Amino acid sequence: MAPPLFILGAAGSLNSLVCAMIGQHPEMYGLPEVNLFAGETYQELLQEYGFLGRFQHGLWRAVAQLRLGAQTERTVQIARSWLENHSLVDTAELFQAILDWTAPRTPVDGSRQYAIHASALPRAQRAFPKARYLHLLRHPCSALTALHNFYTNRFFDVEEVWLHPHVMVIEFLETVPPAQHVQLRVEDLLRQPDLYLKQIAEWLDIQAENHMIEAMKHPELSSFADYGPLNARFGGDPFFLKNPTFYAIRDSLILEKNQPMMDSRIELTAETRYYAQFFGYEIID
Amino acid sequence: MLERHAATPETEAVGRLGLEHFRLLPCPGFGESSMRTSQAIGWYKGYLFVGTGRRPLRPLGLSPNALQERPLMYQLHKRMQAQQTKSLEAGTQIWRFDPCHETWEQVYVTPWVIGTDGQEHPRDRGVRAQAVFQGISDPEPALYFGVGSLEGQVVLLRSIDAERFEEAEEKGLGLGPVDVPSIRSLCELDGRLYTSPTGKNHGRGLWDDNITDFPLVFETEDPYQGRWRPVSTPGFGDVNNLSVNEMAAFNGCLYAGTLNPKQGYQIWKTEARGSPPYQWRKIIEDGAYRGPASSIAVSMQVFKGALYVGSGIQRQGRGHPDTYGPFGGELIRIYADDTWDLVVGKQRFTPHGFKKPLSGLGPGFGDIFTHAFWRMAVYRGWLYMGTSDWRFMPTYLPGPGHQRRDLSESRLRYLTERTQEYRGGFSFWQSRDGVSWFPITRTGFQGNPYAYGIREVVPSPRGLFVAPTFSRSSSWGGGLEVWLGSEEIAAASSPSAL
Repeated sequence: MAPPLFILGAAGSLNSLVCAMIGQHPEMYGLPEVNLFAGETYQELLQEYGFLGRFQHGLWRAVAQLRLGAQTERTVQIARSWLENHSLVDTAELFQAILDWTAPRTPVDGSRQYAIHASALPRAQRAFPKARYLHLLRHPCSALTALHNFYTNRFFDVEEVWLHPHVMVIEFLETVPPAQHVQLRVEDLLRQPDLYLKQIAEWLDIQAENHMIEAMKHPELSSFADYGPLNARFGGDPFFLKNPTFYAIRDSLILEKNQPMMDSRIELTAETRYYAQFFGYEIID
Repeated sequence: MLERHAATPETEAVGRLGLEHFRLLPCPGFGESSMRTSQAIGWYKGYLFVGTGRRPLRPLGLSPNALQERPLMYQLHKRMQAQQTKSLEAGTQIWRFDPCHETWEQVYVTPWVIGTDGQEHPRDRGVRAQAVFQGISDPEPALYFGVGSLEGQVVLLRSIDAERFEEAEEKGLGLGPVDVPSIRSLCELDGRLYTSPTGKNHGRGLWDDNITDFPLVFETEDPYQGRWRPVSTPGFGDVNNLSVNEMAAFNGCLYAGTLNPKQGYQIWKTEARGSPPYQWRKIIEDGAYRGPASSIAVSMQVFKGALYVGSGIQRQGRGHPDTYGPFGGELIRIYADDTWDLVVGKQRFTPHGFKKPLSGLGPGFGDIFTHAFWRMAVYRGWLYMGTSDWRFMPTYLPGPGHQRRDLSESRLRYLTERTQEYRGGFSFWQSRDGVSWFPITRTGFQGNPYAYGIREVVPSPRGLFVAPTFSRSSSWGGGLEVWLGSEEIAAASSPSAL
């Protein structure tokens, strides 16, 4: 069985979209945000996220879908019970169970918490030393503007939301064999999906026939591309859950050459500007 | 026919040099002076010619005005002045090595002039470019050196008898009283010689060593008389191209590599036909899509049907991209049809497809501190790559006016410890097919601890000459060295030969 693929990006980087797109390849399986490696055990996750239940929704939905074949209030409740019965089991073992359930397809996990919790990625790497990592990039102004717009005018600290997660990912990936990770600007993927989806397939060593690439352009067909049942509504980027169609998202974004959607109130620190440049983004002074 | 993607193991030892094949060629004239590097070495009429380079006049090469604005640097300058005697203040020199008799002879020394500070100084700082070329005024192929000035303009020197050097006409490429102190590249194509200005004396000194007010390619058929004329637009029309740093002729075309700290280096190509400015075509952009971490095309070499381009990040001082990182250097190879492959570096998605390193080696040959792929040469069917280690000047660490708030404590500790444990040295690599690479050394030639990179590699019938470069001048414990690599050296010193 091929090792899992993790998609690592800062908030607003369209992780859920890219996860669902790659997951539509017949050899891959896109998970909702299971966030498993954010804790050592499910009990630890409960302690971490008990007050924010929606960060567990993805895991509940994944277990419901993969073990019980459907996402209903009842199956979600069963999934929660199953997880609570295994609350002291290593999250690595739980993830291995997910691997077994998705087999022969390879799971894709785009949990955003992995770029926030310093211990998450080393934990994933210890569990799956051959895991692949797609470091997903988006222009900081675009990412922050998207967050700002979605969360009705709430402003975010650019370093906290964008810079630190990316630096953490970069530092982690320094410890991973180079062949196991690669960066992707989401703008490139949105602009030229065929060109970049084929490259992703080549890197993952999966087939890249036209109908497979075409399937990857339909993330809305993912089992997790919509709101879940009432007791597990989320499990992914709310922006994606609201607009899960690749073309709709693409058309909603301004896609000039690596230039951002701009909110003039967003100010970038010197460090953020340099990292954005290193990622290939143009910074407008 | 070039096997583009073959990564066949290349383990044959035939023609392969190891560290045991290299020996130092001691030159008494290199000792106890301000010399610390050679950026231009040439083989001509059976001799090796070594153009020397010295440390700048003032710390970091700052101009007198800039020095006044920096009290700490001014104090350092005064201390250095107090310890430096005139007898140690060497300017540019050219030394000739006779391999038959193993002797060195000084064949050129720069004149002394009154500098802008009113003091007497050598006129020139170092030789940065060389070529053997026959122009209209040359009775036979001549040896040309581009001599970088400490405060004035670049001068071309010519020798046609391997004994004497004379100055060519037109200092500063004939551009008039402007800041054009040096050139880094002299490249021949179809009976014409090409170059481009690199460096500024009136700016921030060493930090401006590879930028210019004139990022243009110049051409002449007669370098002795000058007659340089521009054959490109400034920066090829891109204001972010701060210099044309390196050039090479390949498959009947001229290739020029730029310094572009904002987006990454570019490679431009022309057939050099018609009237200037010629038609140029950009074939590599954005540091081969790595971005500013590959800001400068440092070295170029044609090898077995492809043009190899080594890159790095240009050190530009506080507030510039090199205060991040460290980033290892990369190597690509370009084919005649303008397609290209990543040979050493970070795998990535590009508009030209997925590029993964054919060698299997990441940036810096797997070492993030190997920051520039500085010089290449082909010798007996092998491609050699001399690199530079970033740790001798760790601009990526916090310093005055520069914090690394971006890094975690553990990462910063790692970088600091790796830097502190550095005891000098560099890595030197070789490949027979351009794909499989073998280290000759990862720690330098195990001599002087101030050696941090290889600035020149020159093949000859006598062997492979290699010049490490130093962070300190010889009067401060560093210096200038030339090494010779040859299979005969190891054979002569082996027990069976005794």
